Amino acid sequence: MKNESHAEFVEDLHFQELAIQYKDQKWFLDCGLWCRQGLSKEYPEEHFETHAFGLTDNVADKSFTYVGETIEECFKNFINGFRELDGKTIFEAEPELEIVDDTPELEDID
Amino acid sequence: MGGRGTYSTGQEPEQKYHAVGEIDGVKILEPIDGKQWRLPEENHSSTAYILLHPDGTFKRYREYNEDHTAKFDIDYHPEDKALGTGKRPILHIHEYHMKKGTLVREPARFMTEEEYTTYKRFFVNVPEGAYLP
Repeated sequence: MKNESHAEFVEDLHFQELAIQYKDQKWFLDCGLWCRQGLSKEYPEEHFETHAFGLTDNVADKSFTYVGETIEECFKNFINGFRELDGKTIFEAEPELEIVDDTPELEDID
Repeated sequence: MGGRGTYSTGQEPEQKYHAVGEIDGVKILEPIDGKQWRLPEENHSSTAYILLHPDGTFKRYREYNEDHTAKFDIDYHPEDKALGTGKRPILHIHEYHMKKGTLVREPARFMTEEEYTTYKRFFVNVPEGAYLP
């Protein structure tokens, strides 16, 4: 993945469902979902969510949800809160990330 | 990671995809740079597009409104968080809505049998009944 500004990176995540690979991990990201009032028992008021869950066996038991009243707040919480990539935020790890197919198998990255 | 379409602002979206085939009149798109495995949120020439996985299996169908904005997606991949269906891929739908002038996407929901039957012809290499919980 090419290096981008933080703002560009956030903008590109809008509406995205994508799998990323970082070293020996694959994660599935589902970004910026709008949850109407009453849709979620955990967060009953209207809000935005971003989901991240592991695909490869080494992270398959991990699943995270980040919420916000606005999509910007949701992304902020996700980008600052997701620290599974050697402790880096997803933005910090971006130069080492690749968009990949959403299968559990690791892919050869050039 | 690439930008979004800008049709709604009056600008022509950058051409990031080309058509590599079609199924029943719906174009199959492939990213020009081989990396942007996603569909445009806005379109300017068709009412629907299909995206396939690199192995040719169905990945996504996106249908657009008359104003060229996305209407809904049919996706085929795991949706454990929203649907509780584990790590197996499942056909599911995301709907788009306008909320105070902004296009928003809703979490995944299960397909109905009627929806599955309507769009089944597009689900290349997807096992029969892959929409069931």
